Amino acid sequence: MDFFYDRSRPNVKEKSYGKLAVQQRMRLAMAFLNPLRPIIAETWLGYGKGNKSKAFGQALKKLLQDAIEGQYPDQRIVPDRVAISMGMLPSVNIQDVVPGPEALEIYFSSEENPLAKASDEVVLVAYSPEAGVAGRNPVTCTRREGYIKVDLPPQLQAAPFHAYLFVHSANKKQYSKSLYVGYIEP
Amino acid sequence: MATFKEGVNGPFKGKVGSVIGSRWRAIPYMKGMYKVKRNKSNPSEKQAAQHQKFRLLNRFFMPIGPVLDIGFRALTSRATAKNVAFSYNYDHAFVEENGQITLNYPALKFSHGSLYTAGAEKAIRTPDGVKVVWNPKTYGVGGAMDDIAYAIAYSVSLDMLLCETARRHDGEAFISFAEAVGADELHVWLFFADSRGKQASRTEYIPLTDTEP
Repeated sequence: MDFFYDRSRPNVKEKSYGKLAVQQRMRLAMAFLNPLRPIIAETWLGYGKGNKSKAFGQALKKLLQDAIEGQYPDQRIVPDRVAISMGMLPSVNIQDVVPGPEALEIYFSSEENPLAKASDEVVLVAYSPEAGVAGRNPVTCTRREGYIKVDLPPQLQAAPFHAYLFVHSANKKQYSKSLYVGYIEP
Repeated sequence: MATFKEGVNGPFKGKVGSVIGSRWRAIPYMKGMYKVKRNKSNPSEKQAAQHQKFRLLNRFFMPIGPVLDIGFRALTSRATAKNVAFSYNYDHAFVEENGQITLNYPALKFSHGSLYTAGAEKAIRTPDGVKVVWNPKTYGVGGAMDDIAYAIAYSVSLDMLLCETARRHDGEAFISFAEAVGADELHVWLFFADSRGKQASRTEYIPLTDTEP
């Protein structure tokens, strides 16, 4: 410790490498997941014991564990490892992805499984973390239909976006792990 | 400033010796007696620039306090909305050209939050005001049809800041200046808040387009 010091200069300690790295990871994770809060509040609800805030915390924890790569200060999110929904329900197999100027269409199939019911509902989410905007299919679509379409918000019609697909039971009690469709460019 | 957290005898209220104890928004304060400064020296160049910045931004936000209350509600537990708006905007709110400090209008923000913006926003100049239009759809996430849209317009020559509200599903709002604003420099912003006023979206600056055909 210096015996003489400048009283008017605040004594600010430099943050450690670990602290800066963790802070950056949290900032990245929050920025990515925050606009999806309404969706995560439903899809992770089982893992949050019915509490929306805890559900979001669990989704955040999963993202921090699985979907961040690189070393500080070049850490980044890997969108295909992000789980916007989580559960035991079997997912679907994507057959074809048809991007259009105002909508994204997906054709899919589903394997026979004792847990999979024909009435399970499929949800398609188009999301741009840069714009902070997402859109989901407005019309209910079931596992047996094999086709789903989402209208793109104007912000996503001219910008690239990520697409995720997941399945939930008709009573919204059970969910599948989300499937990353891809990074779709206009 | 140091923080005084529940000292030996807890926070106090009133004057004790030369110290005054008070409380504001659940924050206990200790203040010194007011000192009258005589022979105040002229500010240095840097200080004058700082004063100018404070004056500009404070004067700009003055007329729309209630709108800022909604736009920055999430951040006002320990500060007033105007103070929050001031510190939120201060770093990017100014442009300095030839020693003149002016406001950087496109960078100003009136709200902060994760509610979704509408997209496809347009501001159309009319003889006596501005018509603001946006996409009224919600796409199932991050917004509701009954969200309130806050359309804000500022006329530089009239030095007038006006705000009009509409529902998200209306898709448009008209801001009337009650005077001809034919060739005036106008700036337009738009943000949304939910019907309970708890959540707000980011602010979008909308470049002005010409009069409707």
